[in-house]
Amino acid sequence: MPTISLPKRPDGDTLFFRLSFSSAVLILLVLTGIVLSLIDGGWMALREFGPGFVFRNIWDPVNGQFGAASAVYGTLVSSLIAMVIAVPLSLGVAIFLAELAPDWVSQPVGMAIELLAAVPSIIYGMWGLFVFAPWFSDGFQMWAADHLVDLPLIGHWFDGPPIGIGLLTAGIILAIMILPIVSSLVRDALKTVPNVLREAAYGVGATPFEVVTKVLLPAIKNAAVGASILGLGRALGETMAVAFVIGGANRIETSLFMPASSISSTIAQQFNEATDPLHISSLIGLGIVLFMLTFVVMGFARVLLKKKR
Amino acid sequence: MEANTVTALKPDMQPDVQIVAQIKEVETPSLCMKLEDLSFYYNRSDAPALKNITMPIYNNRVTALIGPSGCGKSTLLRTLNRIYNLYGSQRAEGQIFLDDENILSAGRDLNDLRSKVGMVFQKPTPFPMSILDNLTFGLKIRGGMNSYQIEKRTREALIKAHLWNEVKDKLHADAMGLSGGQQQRLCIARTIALKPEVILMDEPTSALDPLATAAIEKLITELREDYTIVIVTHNMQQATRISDYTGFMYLGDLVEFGPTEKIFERPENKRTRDYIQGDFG
Repeated sequence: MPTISLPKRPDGDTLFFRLSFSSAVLILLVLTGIVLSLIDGGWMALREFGPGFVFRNIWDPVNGQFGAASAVYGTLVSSLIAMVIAVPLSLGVAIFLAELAPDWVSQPVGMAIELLAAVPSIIYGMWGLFVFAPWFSDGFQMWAADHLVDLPLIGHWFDGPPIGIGLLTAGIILAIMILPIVSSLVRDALKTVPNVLREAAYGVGATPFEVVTKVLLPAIKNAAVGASILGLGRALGETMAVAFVIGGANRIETSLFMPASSISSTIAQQFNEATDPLHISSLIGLGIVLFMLTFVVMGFARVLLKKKR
Repeated sequence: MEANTVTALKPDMQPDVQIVAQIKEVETPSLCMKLEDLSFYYNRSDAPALKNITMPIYNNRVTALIGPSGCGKSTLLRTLNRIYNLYGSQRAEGQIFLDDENILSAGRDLNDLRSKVGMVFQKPTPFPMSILDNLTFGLKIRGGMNSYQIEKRTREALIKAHLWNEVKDKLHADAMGLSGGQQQRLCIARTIALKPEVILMDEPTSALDPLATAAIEKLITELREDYTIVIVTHNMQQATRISDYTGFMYLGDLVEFGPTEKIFERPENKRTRDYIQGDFG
């Protein structure tokens, strides 16, 4: 830390400096406090199960055996499904809004997308459980049971009860949730590309498709990757929407139709009923794992965004 | 004052420019493009940005457009390859003939038009890809050439743009890493690789230092051998150095058009005279 030597100031300036400085210090204190209390709360579980807590595939409150593996699996797989669905869709939405749509279309649609980002996640969860899940069960899972199960390699992903909820449903709901964020960030990035670059590309006879794929997307590549990772950060930590539709089973299953659980949904669903101190401590341990997972992902996003200059 | 400016410039002119000037008087130039009664509107309700302009553009000649900021020079340039069509509200009326065909007609294939009428912008606009890919981009889009022909064409274009020696060892490097002057020559190379009939240049040297400017100006006088060039410039010395014909524009009107020498030495219109003498603008 470089030391800052400040010239002697009049009293008002000193007061102002100290006020704003203490506000900044407050943030650091809060962050440190959160980390310390997480470690303190999870200490019992970490001592009991060691660092292997992260990889233990068991979650048995009755017999006092806990491990994070199934929740980490559920978190990563549902987020991955969300990314696979949301990133291409977001690119499509952003390209349409920034490059192809006339103003009278792109402005209302852009506004609608920003409103979608403002919908509270519990609404997505309720909608997912009461509206989407029954439809998904009848409309897709029944069909998948007849047509997709026998496919090589990916067939067993669709081998499960058509109950509407589970990993895939959670992934789809998450995709709908992060779509607005990613697409509006990518759209904004596209809008920062100077018009003259578009004109130059059209000027050598390129079609809109070639201009977008060969010139504009490479120009905003880093921003687009950064936007996707911000979306991933949101998907990893999302609690309510996932808790509604993921099913709440602490198992690792290859079928995407089976109920599962994510880190945050496990914490949300079990905190009320956890009485055993080890159970509570393990839930806080899950919180530490999620904190670190998200921290790494966001740090990665920041590095990528910085590279853009 | 005016006469002094012109005579003071003459010794600076390069010998080959003078030769071209002499040849020009013997040879009658043929018509490349013809603008007839061209008007342009940025918005339906706005006043026209170009008012009933009629102007010839001659083959293998450099035509300069001069005038104060906002007079419509760049707008005029942007109608010639219909790049304004990217923006829904902009509209041109009248006729622009290229090879006896009205390019403003509704069914005109714009990709084909833009491969015949290339454009170089005020700021260098390298695409975010390698130097080589910048050159082959347009050629690959147009198609119909094998890789040997593409390679030959890109090398020729780089040599002609006097960039070959500087980049031949790093063709796969990112084009963004070149200097401003190199980037601009790359953009010119990219345009001539497509072998257009006409090259439009919108203040191509305004973002460059004097050395890079001199290199581009020399390049333009050489390109006249093979191409027809229309250049917008704020720099009147530049217009006298490199152009054969000059159009002076003011508030959307083409006030005066003629051989560059005549416009600068014996302008007929008072506005032209005032502008050239630096009384306004």
